[in-house]
Amino acid sequence: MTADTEVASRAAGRRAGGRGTAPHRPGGPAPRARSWLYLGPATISLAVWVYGPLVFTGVLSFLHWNLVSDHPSWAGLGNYARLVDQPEFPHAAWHTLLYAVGILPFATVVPMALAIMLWKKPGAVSTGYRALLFLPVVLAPVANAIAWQFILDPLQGAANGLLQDAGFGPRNWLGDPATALPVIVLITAAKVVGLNLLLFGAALASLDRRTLEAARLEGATEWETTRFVVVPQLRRTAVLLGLLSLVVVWPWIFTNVAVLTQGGPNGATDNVYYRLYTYAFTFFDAGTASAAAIVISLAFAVLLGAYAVLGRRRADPGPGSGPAGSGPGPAGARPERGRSHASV
Amino acid sequence: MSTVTVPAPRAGRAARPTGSSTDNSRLLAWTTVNTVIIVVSIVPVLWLLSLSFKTPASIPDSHFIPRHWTLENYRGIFGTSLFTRALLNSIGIALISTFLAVLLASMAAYAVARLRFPGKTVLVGFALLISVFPQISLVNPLFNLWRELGLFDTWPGLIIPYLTFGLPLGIYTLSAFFREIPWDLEKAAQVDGATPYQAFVKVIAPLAAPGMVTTAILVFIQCWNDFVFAISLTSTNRSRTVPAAIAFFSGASQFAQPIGSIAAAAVIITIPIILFVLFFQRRIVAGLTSGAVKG
Repeated sequence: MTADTEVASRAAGRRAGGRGTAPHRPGGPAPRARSWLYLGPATISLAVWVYGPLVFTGVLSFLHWNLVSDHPSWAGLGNYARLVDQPEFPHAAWHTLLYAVGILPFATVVPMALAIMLWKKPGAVSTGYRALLFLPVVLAPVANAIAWQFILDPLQGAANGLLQDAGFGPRNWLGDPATALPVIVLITAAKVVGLNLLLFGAALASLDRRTLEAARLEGATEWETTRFVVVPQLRRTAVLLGLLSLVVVWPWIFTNVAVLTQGGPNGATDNVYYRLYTYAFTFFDAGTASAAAIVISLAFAVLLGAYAVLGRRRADPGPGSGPAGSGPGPAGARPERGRSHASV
Repeated sequence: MSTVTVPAPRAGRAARPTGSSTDNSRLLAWTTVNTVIIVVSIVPVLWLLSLSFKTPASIPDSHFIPRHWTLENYRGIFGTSLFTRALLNSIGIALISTFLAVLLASMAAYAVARLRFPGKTVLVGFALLISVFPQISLVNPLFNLWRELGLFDTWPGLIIPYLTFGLPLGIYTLSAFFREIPWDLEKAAQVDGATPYQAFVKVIAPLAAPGMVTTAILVFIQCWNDFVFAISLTSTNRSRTVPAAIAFFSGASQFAQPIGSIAAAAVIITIPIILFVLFFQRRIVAGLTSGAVKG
């Protein structure tokens, strides 16, 4: 095999023969120089503006530095110690876990069931449904957040209006520590469900419909067909999408929290992502914020590592094991030979 | 066309589920789940639309169809430089970032798709890592760097992170597209007497265009929707984009919120997104499922 990441593997299925002839070299500079000519600008941008600041963060995490002091002073592991010692960060980490648990079903079971439903009954209704669920995927998170702010407003919101019409008392959904986090999870879920629906759909598109017919011929009911023929083939996709969603969901949760609750009430909707923002932009404490950034980055690395390992190991059973994680780029954390790409 | 002969009494073309009672209760459960999902997905946009046409007095009522229609909210926001400037910032920053990201990503994707070179795997891996990288980890160092470099609260101050976060998305999507292009046609055209320039413009460019358009749309949406960088790296109207402006007005104001105006602003930034969905949905989905992940 050529050196390839999953990027490379997408086309592999379609035109397996084409790959051998891919690197053809018309005249011009030597291949290596030519490659770098093309790759240079992108690589340098990423190195300077992403990996550079990341290293800077690493350094900052060992310094005491705020906006006022001109001269940062050495802090050693002080910033990390402060993260652990003060109650805020462990609390935020715990709530981050709650968010993750809340989001998982919307990343896996729900979109999978929807995708199977739409896949089984193709037609105008399915297409329309898909289009409706697609909107939140591309909608600006801030527009979504602001809409819910108005809907859930305890005094003027439509939600309480409807509840009162139905005979219930008003509730302050976002002001009540018991409901604030679940509400944030739910309104973030629309985006996760919509996106993963697409990705499950892509996985289903490459699934062999004849297995279904075979099952039906054997007398399996619709439910049995789904449960024992379709779902097992999607299990791998579900695991990968679950992990992936836990990696990409935070900016959306962050937006909802920043607009709707600012981490409140009483820290109920806080999470490490928002906490880092608070350190950096409420307290202007660059050192602690950087320590938090490094901790979060390491946690992401662990998730991505799990993703890469699972993506590879489960792929081994061969091409018959159904479509792999179908797409999302981030798999590129590691070279993933096993991943194939369902194309739409 | 394969007609399936299923030994079921009402087997139609698609072998419908037989209407047993478990199927019916499942259907009921499904209907409920689907209703909730549709409500959560669609209601926010519809509600914003409704609010944006309501008069201030009728905003607290929970009627979906406004009883008193007004365009005053839209007239109001377009009458203030606060919004128009933010809109200009949003459009300018997103377009420039998208253009640069697609340009650089095309070059890189071309190399990834067509050339062999040592370290390719590692390089692509590191590039793609960024697409899932927690942006928030970069916000603080960029904030400090930008203040040193005088880039804080400027267009380039946002264009740079948008460009760099657009790049992995672009490289990933484009290299997937580029791999599907039959590059041999280029040579074939030259054999038939086309100059290299003609071969590129008349043969390769039209084949590459759809992928580039799709990528541009994806990157544009990502820049247009961004909130994390927008609220962290801007402080004034000079470079504040609409998402940041919306949050600024809704969260930070101590006086009564101008709900109608905010709703109108949110509707305005949603319009391009709706247009993309209407006209390019298939492409966006193809791009998303082949490559990127952040919608």
